[in-house]
Amino acid sequence: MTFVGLLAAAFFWPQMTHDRKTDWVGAPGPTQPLAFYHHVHVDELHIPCAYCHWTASTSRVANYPSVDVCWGCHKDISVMHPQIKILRAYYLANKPIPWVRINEQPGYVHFVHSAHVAAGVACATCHGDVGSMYTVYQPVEMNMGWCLACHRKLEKKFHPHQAAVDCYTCHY
Amino acid sequence: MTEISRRKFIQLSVISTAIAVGASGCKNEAIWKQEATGQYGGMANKVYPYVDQPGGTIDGIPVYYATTCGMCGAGCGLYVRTMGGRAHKVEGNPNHPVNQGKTCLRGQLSLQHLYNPDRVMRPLMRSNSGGNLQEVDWEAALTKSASALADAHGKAAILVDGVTIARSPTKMRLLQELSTHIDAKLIQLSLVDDSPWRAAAAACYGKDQIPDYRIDHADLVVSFGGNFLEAWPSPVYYGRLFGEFRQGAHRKPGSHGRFVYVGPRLSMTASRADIWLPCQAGTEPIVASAVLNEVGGKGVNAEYAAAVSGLSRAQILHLASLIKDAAGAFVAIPGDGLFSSASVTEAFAAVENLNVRMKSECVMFGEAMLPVENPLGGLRSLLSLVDEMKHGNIDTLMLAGQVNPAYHLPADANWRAAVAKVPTVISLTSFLDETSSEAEIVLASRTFLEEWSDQTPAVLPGGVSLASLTQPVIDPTYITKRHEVDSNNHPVPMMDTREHNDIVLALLSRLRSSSPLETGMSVVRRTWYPQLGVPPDAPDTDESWPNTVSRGGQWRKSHAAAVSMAAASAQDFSAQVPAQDGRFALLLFPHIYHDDGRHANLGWAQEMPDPMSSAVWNTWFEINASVAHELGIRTGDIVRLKSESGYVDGPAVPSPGIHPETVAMPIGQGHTAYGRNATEVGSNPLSILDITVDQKTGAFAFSATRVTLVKLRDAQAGFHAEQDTLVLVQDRPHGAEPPAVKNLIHETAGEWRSGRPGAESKVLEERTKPIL
Repeated sequence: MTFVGLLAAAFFWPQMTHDRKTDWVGAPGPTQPLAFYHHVHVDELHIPCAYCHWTASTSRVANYPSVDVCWGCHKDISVMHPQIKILRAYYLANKPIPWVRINEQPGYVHFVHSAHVAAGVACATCHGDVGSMYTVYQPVEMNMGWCLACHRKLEKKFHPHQAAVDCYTCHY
Repeated sequence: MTEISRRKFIQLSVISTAIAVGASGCKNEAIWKQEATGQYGGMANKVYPYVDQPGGTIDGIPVYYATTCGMCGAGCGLYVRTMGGRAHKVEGNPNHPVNQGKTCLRGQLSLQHLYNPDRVMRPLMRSNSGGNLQEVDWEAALTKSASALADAHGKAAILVDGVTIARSPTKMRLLQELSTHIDAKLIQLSLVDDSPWRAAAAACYGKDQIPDYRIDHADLVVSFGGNFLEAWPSPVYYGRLFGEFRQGAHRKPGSHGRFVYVGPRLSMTASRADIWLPCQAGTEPIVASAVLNEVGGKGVNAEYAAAVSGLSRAQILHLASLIKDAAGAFVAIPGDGLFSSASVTEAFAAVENLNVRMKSECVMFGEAMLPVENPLGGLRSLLSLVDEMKHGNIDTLMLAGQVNPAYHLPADANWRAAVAKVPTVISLTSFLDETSSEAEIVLASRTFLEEWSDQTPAVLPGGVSLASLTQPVIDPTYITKRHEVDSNNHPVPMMDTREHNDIVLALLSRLRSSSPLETGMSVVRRTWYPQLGVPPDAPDTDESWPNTVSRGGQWRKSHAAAVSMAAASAQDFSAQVPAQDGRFALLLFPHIYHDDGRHANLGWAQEMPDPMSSAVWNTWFEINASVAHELGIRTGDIVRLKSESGYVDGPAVPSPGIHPETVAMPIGQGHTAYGRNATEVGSNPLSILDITVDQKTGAFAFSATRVTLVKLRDAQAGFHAEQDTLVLVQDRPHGAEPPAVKNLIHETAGEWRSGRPGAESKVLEERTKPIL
């Protein structure tokens, strides 16, 4: 019984180290300066991801849309919504929205979005079902083992050029 | 009291612990997500997207801008890689005729120049004389500057940086307008002055510019003190040609060009030579003259040159026979080693005489598409300005660019005493140095990566008509302070700087009481439109301008500038033998990274080991190894050099690669006020120099001083910053040199010893007299 108690204590013990790896993953996501409703845009309106994150297929990064992309629709749509009022304040003050970054690889990893989009990997494979998230969070621990699980599985399919497992594919 | 059984106690304690820990864990997690500052930054890791994304920019895809390097006067073309509006990497412009896609270390350093924490961020002004420099707004600084310039009508002077600003057609046009308007003297200052070179070229070839030596066409290159692969005048250009010269596509397999270096020090350039002829310092032109005599020209005889220079007659005759064999595929190059007497121009002409005599096919001239009128320059005109300042004839002095007489002038010139008599000193600069930190008003100007400008390269490639354009690759107004907003909740810019041309235009408009009609770009465009064949009042939409900007300038083939060797004339040469007073000749060389001292404030320049000595973060004295052995000096021992006007201390580097009667030292260190990386690092040899001026052009002969040498103390074990500890990054046990350099040194030393048996013990005694 004591043993079970200690196990329970270890399990529930608060995170004491400054290590984002375990705590950052999972719902709820961090508070953003503006509550953007992915579930409305994705689930209800069926707007494709690349409509706003349009560089995912052409660049190594998938962009955070510039404020004028939001403003393109919301100068006319839902203008009285409290969150759109915040958006308008940012846009008219000519200030960028300071989004909190959710998904990030460390500096020694060169992750390339365009290669994955070109290979037909769906956004949700890594980013989860964003349409069901009220505040966006990182769904999985994006460590090297997780990358390699997929790369190993698909290595033969795409061999030799795609889904490579060479170190230099990502670390260069 | 209720009895609690052991089982009950354990049950209760587990449940309560679980509740407590679980509750605190959940609460902690929520806070943690807000405050995490771990590896990835947590809540502090913000992404700031564009507000209005400029067309053509894709996140993660770099944008390249073509511009021109302003780190020295060579004017190489650059492609600067930018991401999200920030300059990230500098590469050479592959289409630019000067560097063809290459850069040197100084070009790579331009990012440290741009992102330097010691930059002048805002205009500074002293509230009262003797007070500290304080940040003010532009309106106050410009109004005060303009009124000081207007009040000093006829008693003002503008001192221009001769390395960068004096090479820009637009900047010089505006500064000339300003100087005419207020009737000010316009003087340029560059330590390593190209005026003797230009004067020699004008006399020999009739062209007032530095010739282009096409060493890639040559079979034999003879350098007389010309360190063309290092600091001056165009290292990337000559580095590229040198590669072609050694193993270019047009060479037959196995055939290489031959390179002979004549000069007292085995510089980095000399270490690339096949034959090094270590003559006595200052006798390079005499050797050139003797060789000229041997190849059929009019010069001194070989016996005399051998006696004076310390070379053997056989060496001089051998050099002459090599030159005869090479005939027109030969080129002789002068350089910064020739600033060692009061007749620098004659020395350059003596070297050019060889090219004229041999009808060298490798001397060419390029054409400046936008010629710059060279203003009055040289040490002589500066000394007369200092004289006027001392007599109170100058009320306002304006310093344009990184011009630094307080550092460059010898102590004997008394710059500090003179500048103290000038009521207002205005400095347009990006960095506070010894001179500008004494100014009353500092107008914070932008670096060359942030402004519109243009440049006429110091060495114009032969057969090309060229002008190089500088455009901003980054807008500093968008570099903001983190977490800081003004009263309107707008982010506060880190800097409030202005382009050099904008500042001069603002001063001009205030002096003329008119509003400025032009901005930095339009004023550059106005200089360029006539050359592009566009009427000056053409609209901004003219197509030729974006084409020019995206290329990084304009260049085209030119036949007008070919040099006619038939019309070239050899100049008379009267041999000036350096004084033999038993002291060492002090040979100073502009350092490959620090140039004339302007780049000593860049960390990478300090951190990179010197190519010959491998020393970092210091100056050093190169002393001949056998002389050092006789004096009991070993590597790192602190020695003192004393001239007529002062002394300078520093660590010794005994080297076999230097003439026994010469001590060499790099220029560029020993700053007293030049940012965190340069201040109090090394020592400044310029301060102890005698004032020797080239008779023809007034250029500063910075290697004409003779010194005595004494050892102060042994090197101490360990590192002691305050004791000038010498740090050699690549330690060479037992003096082991790379094999090629070792062979060169030992062959040369053997020849030298056999030519002059046992001559120096008495001289050495004389040269090391106690000086304290």
